[in-house]
Amino acid sequence: MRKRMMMLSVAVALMGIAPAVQAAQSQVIDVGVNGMVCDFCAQSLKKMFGKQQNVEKVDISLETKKIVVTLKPDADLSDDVVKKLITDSGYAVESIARR
Amino acid sequence: MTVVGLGNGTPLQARPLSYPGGAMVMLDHDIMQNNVFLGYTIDPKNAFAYRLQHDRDRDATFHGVQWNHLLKRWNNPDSQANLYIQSAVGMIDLQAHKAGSAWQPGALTGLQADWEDRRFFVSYENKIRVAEDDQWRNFTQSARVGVAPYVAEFGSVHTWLMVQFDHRPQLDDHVTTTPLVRMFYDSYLVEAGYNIDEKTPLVNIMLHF
Repeated sequence: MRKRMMMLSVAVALMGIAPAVQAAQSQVIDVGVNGMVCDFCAQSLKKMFGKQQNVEKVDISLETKKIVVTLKPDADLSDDVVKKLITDSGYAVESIARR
Repeated sequence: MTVVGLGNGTPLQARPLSYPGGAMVMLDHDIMQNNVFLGYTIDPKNAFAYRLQHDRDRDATFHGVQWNHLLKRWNNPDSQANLYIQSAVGMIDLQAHKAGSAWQPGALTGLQADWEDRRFFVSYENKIRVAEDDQWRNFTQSARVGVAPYVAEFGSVHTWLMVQFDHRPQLDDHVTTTPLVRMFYDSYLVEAGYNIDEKTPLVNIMLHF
């Protein structure tokens, strides 16, 4: 009986934690960018996205012409905001995909 | 982003504009002048700056406010091209070669165009300088071609080998040539070259914030 109660308690505790674990997953946005050929100039992308509270980190590749924006857990960044940040940085958006 | 620079319209600014809210600092030394440029970008197409330009031949100094405006940008998958207009108004201190009143108003304006991909770079710039003093008035133009000896990824040190051609009608050698090296890393850019006709170094430093 005691063992069953203990297992039940653990199960209930895990049920409480699981939603929190699921919500802690971060969304990643892959953005294809045109015009991104100069590292010195592309630093503006790092600074623009770095100012966004919802952004955990930004990875930029001149080779693939993509930036990968990793958001903070439970955070979101709309396509409109992503497009504005990129055009304000001096570039054009080719594609946006989320995972 | 803040940019600080000095010069007779040259050397060509690597990035006349930054992102909104960014500041730039550029310092440069070329065959005729030294420049200091402290700029702030207010929106994606406009930046304003304090510009100091010291003409060493005339020992005259221009202090002014400069406006850099992006007229057009082409963002292609593998390249980018830009067309800017740059204009400044201010006061010229002509104390060294004119007795009496040393200050008079002056202005300069010109176009800058560039195209680059990850391997090649070309640019062109012209400037007209106007003032009552006829020795300050002039027209100059410059062009650059460059090649990256290696194609670097974002976050690495980038190197460019360039040649700059300057047309300055007021000089004995109207057209001069300056081979130079441009390197940049993160938000820091440095250029170093040597004008083989005037035998004068070219140095340019740019910082973005």
